[in-house]
Amino acid sequence: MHVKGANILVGVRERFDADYSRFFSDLTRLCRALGAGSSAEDLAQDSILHAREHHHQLRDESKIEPWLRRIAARRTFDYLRRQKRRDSEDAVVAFLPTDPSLSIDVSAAITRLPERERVAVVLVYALGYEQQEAADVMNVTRGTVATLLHRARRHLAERLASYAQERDRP
Amino acid sequence: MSGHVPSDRLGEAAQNGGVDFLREAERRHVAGCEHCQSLYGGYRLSDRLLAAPWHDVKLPPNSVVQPTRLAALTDFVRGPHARSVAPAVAAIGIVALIGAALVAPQLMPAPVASNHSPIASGATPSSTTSTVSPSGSGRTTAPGSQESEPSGPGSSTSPGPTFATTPGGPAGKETLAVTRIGGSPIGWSPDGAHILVWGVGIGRPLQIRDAGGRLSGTVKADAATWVTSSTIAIATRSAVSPPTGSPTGPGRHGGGNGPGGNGPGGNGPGGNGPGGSGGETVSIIDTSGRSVVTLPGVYATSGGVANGMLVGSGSGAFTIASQGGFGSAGWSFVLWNGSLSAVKGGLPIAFSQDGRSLAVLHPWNAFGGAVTGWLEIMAVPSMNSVASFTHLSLRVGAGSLGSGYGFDAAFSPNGAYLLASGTLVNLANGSTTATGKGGWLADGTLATSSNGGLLRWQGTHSSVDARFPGLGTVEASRHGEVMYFYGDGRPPLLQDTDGSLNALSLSSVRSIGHLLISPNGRTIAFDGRAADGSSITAVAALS
Repeated sequence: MHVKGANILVGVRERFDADYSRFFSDLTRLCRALGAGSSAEDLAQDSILHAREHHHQLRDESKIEPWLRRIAARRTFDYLRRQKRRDSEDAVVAFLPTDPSLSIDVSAAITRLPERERVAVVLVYALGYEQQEAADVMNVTRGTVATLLHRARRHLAERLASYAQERDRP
Repeated sequence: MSGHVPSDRLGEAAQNGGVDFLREAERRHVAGCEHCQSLYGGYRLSDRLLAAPWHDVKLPPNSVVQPTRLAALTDFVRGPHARSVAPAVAAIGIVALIGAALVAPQLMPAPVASNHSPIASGATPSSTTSTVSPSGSGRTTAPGSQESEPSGPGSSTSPGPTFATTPGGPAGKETLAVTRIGGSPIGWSPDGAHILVWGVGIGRPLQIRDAGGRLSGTVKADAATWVTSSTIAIATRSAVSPPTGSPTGPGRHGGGNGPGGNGPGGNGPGGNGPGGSGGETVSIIDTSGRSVVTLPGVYATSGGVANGMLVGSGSGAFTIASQGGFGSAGWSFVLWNGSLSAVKGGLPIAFSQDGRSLAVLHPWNAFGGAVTGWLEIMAVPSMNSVASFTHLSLRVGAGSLGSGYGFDAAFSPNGAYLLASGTLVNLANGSTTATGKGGWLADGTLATSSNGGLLRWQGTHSSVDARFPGLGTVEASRHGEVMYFYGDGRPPLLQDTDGSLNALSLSSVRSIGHLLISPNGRTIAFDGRAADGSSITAVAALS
């Protein structure tokens, strides 16, 4: 008896294995950018394992990458939450833009953005995701990502205005 | 005009060529308004910042992170199906927890100094220090930390290190010339004279390069491991599928003699298990890529070639693991040390340094690069079981930059411990300690990294060596050298066998992503970012 969907599920599993390296690389990059640091590889691997075990939850095979990224992002935030509880006295490792001619305090302004704005900025500016790709990861619409980016830029400008006052007047 | 120029208009101007973009009235206002000038400058600075390359940067604990707005993370912490069922209260609670976790570090006091952690002492700078541009002084300053106090000879935290000129810090900065090689370095030969590199291109070329980066051979391979310092075992896709359903064991398959004509009655692997989808041929090559011998049989690899199909001792033996082969649906393996052993169950993950013990995982979950299961220690070459830790659920990840090259597992020099992906297993009683990833030194010390700096473990007790500040990655050579490197552009630190510490400057290299130090401690292979921002893979001699 041919069971509709069975072949699709097998196909998904095989695709996990066949594209493992690519998925792993992509998710490691994502987890690292979201702040996982040296645990990025473990989180990426855990995410793929989890996804593979729950592949039946994937309804559209063409959405496998956004689905994986969403899982990896959630796991990274869970991990960061646990880490911040445990290592609350330690310094924070953040993924930030670094311009040698600018103080690191300028870069640190990114960390002061509201979380959703910061994540949108990281996905689009650090990882080069299209806005739709970022929206898939964040489980929001593309328009929401555009709004978050717009607000993030405004918030950054407001926070950096005092730095700019001395060095970058029109 | 009345009031300030709207923020969005200033933002548009910053993006569109400057204040000329503004209307005349707006321009006149900006010319006389400090607030608008600052905000315009803020936009320009923001755009410049967002266009800069991104790195991991360590910020001090007192970096102010604004409390997360309620509901900000809701979409992340709940699953895609939870939207319709998760109560709002639960979401708010979770978000509040995250917000508290973000805020809590700012409310906590500065780290308390310990005897072995001078790095933490008074580390409360009001302003962060750039981690991107190494200072020209040759000293390494960690952001968020003050330079460490001396912990020189006599310190219980290190085996008697000495400092040439600068107490508590690197003796000086040494600039190393690098040789670009491309690809992904995966494993040094036991003598450190050659390195295997996965090349870039169709058919997964395996490059064999000498320590100077010169290519000595290229072959196609799906998995590889060093058998000795001059021979490499490789697995390549076979044109012939493994025989279906033929249970094979020593003397039953009739697959011919082992390599060198001294094999047993024939135990060529085969027997495609359920779902088996292909097979690999295993052969041994020399460092120029020439085939020395091809082992009999085709090795089933259902689900594709996984990490650890081949695991070498470096002293003449290696294992061949097969999933769905040898008449078994699970993992099983044979040992080759001049001849092929009987088939054993499990997946080998590491040989001891003397080559006399083999760590074998019995996976209940094996996929891609990670395997989870219970641990067994076997004697080599008898393959008798020495110890079984069935209560363990040990997870072991990929061991190197490229898949198809072993696991992240290593015995201590005396064979009493096994470090597997950051978990230290005491092989006397099976107890485990979460140590983080690291490497073994020749004297039996385990070096791992932590937020407070490098940790030195004696057994299950650790102490911080604050001369290696901040969170880095540790690589240790069997010879005794320790490399501590960062992904954010800070110079890597090298501790020599005499205990002297140097900050290294790698010519034209901005940051290191991964690094492998040769067993003899003379050469490093690494990937990362070049000064111009492009990817770089290279080798560099340490002396």
